Amino acid sequence: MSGGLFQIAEPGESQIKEACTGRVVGIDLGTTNSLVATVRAGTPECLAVDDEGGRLLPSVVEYFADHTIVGKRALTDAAANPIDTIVSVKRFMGRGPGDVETTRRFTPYRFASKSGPLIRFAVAGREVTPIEVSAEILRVLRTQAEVALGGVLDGVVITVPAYFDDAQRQATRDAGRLAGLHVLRLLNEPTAAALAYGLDKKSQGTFAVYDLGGGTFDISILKLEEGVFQVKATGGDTALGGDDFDRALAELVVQRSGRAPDSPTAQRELLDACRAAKHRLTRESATEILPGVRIAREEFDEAIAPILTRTAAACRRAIKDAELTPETLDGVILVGGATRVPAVRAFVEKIFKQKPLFDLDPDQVVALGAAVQADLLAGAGPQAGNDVLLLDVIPLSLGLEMMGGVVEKIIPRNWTIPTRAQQTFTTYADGQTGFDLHVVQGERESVADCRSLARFQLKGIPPMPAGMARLDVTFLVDADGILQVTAHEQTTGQEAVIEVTPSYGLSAEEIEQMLLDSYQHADSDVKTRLLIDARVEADRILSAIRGALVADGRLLEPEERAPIEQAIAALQSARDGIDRHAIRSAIESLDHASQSFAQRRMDTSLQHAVAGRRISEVEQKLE
Amino acid sequence: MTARPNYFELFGLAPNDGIDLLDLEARYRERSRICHPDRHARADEATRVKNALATSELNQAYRVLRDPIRRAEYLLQLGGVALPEKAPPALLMEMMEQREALSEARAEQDEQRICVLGAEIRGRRASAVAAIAPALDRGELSAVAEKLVELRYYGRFLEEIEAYEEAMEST
Repeated sequence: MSGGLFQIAEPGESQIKEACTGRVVGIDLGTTNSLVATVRAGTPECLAVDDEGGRLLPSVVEYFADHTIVGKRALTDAAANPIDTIVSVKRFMGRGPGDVETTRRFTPYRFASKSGPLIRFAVAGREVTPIEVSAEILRVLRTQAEVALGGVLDGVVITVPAYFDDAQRQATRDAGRLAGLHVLRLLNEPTAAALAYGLDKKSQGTFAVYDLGGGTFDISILKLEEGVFQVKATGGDTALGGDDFDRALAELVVQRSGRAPDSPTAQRELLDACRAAKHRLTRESATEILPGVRIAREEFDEAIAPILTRTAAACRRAIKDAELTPETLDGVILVGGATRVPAVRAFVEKIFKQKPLFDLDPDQVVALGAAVQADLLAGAGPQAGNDVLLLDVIPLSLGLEMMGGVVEKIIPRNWTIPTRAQQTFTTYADGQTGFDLHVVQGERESVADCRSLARFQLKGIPPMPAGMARLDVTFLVDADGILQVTAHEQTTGQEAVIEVTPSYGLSAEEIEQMLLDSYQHADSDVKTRLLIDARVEADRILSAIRGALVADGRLLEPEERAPIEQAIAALQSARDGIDRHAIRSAIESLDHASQSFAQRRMDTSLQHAVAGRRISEVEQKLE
Repeated sequence: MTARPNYFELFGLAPNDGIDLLDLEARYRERSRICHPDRHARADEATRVKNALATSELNQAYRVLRDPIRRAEYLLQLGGVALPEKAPPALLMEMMEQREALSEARAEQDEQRICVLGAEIRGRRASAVAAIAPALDRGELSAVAEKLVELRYYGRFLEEIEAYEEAMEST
């Protein structure tokens, strides 16, 4: 072994192994970008997600017949390959084919189904659900994190918009499972941001978090006191974000140029150009989007004003739900890339009547907070943080469909979770053994205006005369904001069997099947381990040869040393990548380049070693 | 079945202790720290469900105790006093008129009228709430019950107003 030779002269092996008690990370699975963070030595930090050390992984997945590409390269390809490249998949999570998201302007995708509980994209000759697309993104984050932390992850916290409904949460958790992750918790994004802020600033008081991301908007009001982050109220819109600014700009450009994009590629190019222009407009007062089409910042501000107005209603409602007024808030925290837009900052200042805070990077703050929560859950948190506790709320009321399509609320919005409600039902026919419950989520009085969550079919009620059976149904919303239903019959104490048919998303069986089918999943586990092994070996060899050069570099002429240095640089760069074959071949090249140096060192070292030693000892060392 | 601690006992309080909201909140935080499932993330599934249930009970207790109306209802329930099924006829009549006025105003989208109707009932709700605490102190549970029935009608009326206001705001 090449490394072995160098280690002869190494006094005490330099080891890069980290003491790991539970490798946990926080993941911000964003509409535009995704991040992964972990707590090291008590401080959360975002991990590199690409070979250049970037922290933002564009949430873009490009499909080919036999593989996928995720991230920057997929983003670059999006215009050339718009149908097979899924951008902003988060907007489709937990949504059905009939939902507005599929019919938006400038959406280049091809959808495989027109009905049913799930959206399916037709990409590269197959169909994939948003859950699977998200799982691809999560797999890359997972691999990067496992490589950085030197081992398989024990658990993750994934953030979701606070205003995500049950189906969107389920879809996110399922994507995590599909990516082979142990999801410790789903955490609301504004709560995560508050956690990162609060711990950073050691703040107390009542804060609003205004979180405008790529595709979702959240407003949360939290009270921070003695380490407890208590969410008082939350609100938002899961189909509103920076993407809509791009679209508004695109509309403006189409109007101005009189030319609508006529192909998926042109649509994607237009949206990309508008996104870039939006970024420029945060610094510049005007910018050219297409040749001859120049847009001033005032025009952009005007175009996005209706979008901002939509956020104002949610803010006012949340303030009211929290039983507060804007003046009594101790601060307003800005989160999400879209809050870089000057008009957004001015708007927030107007609603809350105070200057907002944005001293933490609005792109990273959610992932950092998620890492802190993951650390707390793993029980490995810093001493000072051990008393931190998050008390979150359910964002939308849960209700049951009653006669005539009317909704009866069972759990109102903004109740602290976990929470439960119990209802007793009785049978209306003699010998009735089953019962159907339709659970909906939303604030409106009619079922048609709320979002269908699931149909629960209770079975196994003992046959009794009508009105005799007393069925206690318990609705428990867990700390992730996801509903669980249990039921039992009072007089017999018998547990009812419940079959759940989710209105949007996958049933438990479908998820199981997907997990079974995904050999890729097992495969990627193995790949990760192999990559980690290769990296550990590369580190060992690099450290050994660098040590050897320091100790015995004098044995080399400058022209002998140059190729070794080159091979070292090549291995270092391969080691920082994620291609284990590249690492292996760089190790071989370095081995080859340094063979004569190794030989010379061995000779020298033998001369020293043999002096005064038994030959068997030397032979042993050489094995 | 063993007797479950009542909501007051969960917080180490007695039913006739007055509620100091800040003190209640501190007790709530302290107890949440003990039973919240996040504090037992590494426990087995059964323990986690147990903690989720215990926390949901604590959350429910906190919601009831910090709200004067819910707290009074709960006290009556503990005292075995049932709320009267029906409101006094005079109140019934009056509320029916108010509701009619409201549905007319909604049909005509007369925002100002809706606002006035809301303000009036909010005022009456506030004075009914204010009357509860002294009645409880005097142990006049049936007087408390009357006020609570009244508040139910106001509550339902205001729910409708609030739903309207919300719908207006989000358009």
